[in-house]
Amino acid sequence: MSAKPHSALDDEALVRAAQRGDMAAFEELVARHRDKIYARALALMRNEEEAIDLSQEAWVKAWQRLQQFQHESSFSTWLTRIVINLCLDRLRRQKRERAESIEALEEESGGVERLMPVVTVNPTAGLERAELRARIERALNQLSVPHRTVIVLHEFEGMEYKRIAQVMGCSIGTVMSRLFYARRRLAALLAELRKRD
Amino acid sequence: MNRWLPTRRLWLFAFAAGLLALLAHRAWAATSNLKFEAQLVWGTNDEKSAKPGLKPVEERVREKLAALPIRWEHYFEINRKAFELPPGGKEHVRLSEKCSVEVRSVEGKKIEVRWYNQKKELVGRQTQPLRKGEMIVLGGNAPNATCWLVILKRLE
Amino acid sequence: MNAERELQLQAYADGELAPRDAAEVERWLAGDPEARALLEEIRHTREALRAYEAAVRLPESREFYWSKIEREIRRLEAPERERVPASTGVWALVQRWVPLAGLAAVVALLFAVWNWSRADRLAEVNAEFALADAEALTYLHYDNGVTLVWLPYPAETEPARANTGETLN
Repeated sequence: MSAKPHSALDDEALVRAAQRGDMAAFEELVARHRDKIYARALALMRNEEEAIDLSQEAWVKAWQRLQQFQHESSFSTWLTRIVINLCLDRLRRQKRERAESIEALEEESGGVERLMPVVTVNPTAGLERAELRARIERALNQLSVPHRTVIVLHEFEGMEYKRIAQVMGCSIGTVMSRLFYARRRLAALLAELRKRD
Repeated sequence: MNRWLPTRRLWLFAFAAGLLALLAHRAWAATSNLKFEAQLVWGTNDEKSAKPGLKPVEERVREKLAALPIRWEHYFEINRKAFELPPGGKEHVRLSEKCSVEVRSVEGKKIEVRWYNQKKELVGRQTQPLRKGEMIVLGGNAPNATCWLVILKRLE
Repeated sequence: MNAERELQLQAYADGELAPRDAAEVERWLAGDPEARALLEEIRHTREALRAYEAAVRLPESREFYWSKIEREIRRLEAPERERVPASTGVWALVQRWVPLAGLAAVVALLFAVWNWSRADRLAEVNAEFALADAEALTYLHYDNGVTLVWLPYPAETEPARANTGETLN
């Protein structure tokens, strides 16, 4: 009886094989999840080369830590956490203080986001995939690091407020304010791009 | 009178003049555009090409290819594009529907050549200096025991 | 709508409210069109972000991307004494070990005046080569000024492998 090819195995079986040293099984996992891991890194870093480097670093770390993976969450979730931590470490080292302080001022001054009119039309309805991607990227580029981070952790990672607060080292109230600000700003930016059509 | 003095001054002057000339040349080279030519070539052992209208590559390219450890006897040009690269710039060159390369100027003297597959995914990268008249050749097997080549030549 | 109400609405949209508080927000929403519009805006933004992530594709081929990961894993797993830095070559060693600034200046001047030696040229080319597959061959014919990169896959190999050339069927 011949063994199943790796492509026919589910993630759990591939991880167990990789934990036994099967690098081809690990390569199959890389092929399956590389886009998602790269997308997480790109959403945070806003730079393709950095996102590629950090996503590859995450895969190498995952290989090194495979024995620690106990299947409590999905492999994909475990890996996205690794890449997010790497990205956050890199962002902390890069110290984009100037942009952060301007955003902080806007938040503290009583909520610029509260002055933005509510966007009543779905700003991305009917867009082709490539155009949607381009617009979201332009909008994400205009968010500061903390606001982009909270969006990625909540909207992409599905983390609860409490967990986000732990990861970002701030209060739940700050998480909620930042998330609200980031969402309103994104909606306004997307609506602005839609108006230009 | 010391006879050695004029000789020593002459040597120092020659050295300084040479150094100045070299620095001037480097400064000019660093700010000028680099000129390249990219060629898509088909290699075969058949004397006549499968597609009418394809012409053989020029003799000096043929000689350089003949000196390489690849075994084809005849090379025909499919497409050719010339382009310029400003310092620190990049240029994407599409040679056919399935074949494109991107050339970037890096670190002043080196260039980085990137190759893409049909799905526009990066499949390879080569970084090296390329002086005037030198070539980078990327090649692989094609059906019916033929080959394809992408030749990037620096003109200026 | 004050700031506290807005954040409560957001928490409702995110499923962060206790059932009793969620029910209270639903009663409020029933009578407040502005609040309903804001809730809709939050949902549209969420949909757009999820659609965005599904559209992102890594711009490198499977083989190329994996080759760098595999190389790094093998480098880290090699025994300590065999571990070689990612970038090596005669030139990197020279840069590291030439001790005196004066000697380095003289060496730099010599490089500027004369052509590179063959060994240094080979190190420059080979030290910065990355391709999808280690089976690809690099050949430097420096008398002739030609660098050849040969991808030795059969012609019938699927396009996902490093085949960027024209096929003339």
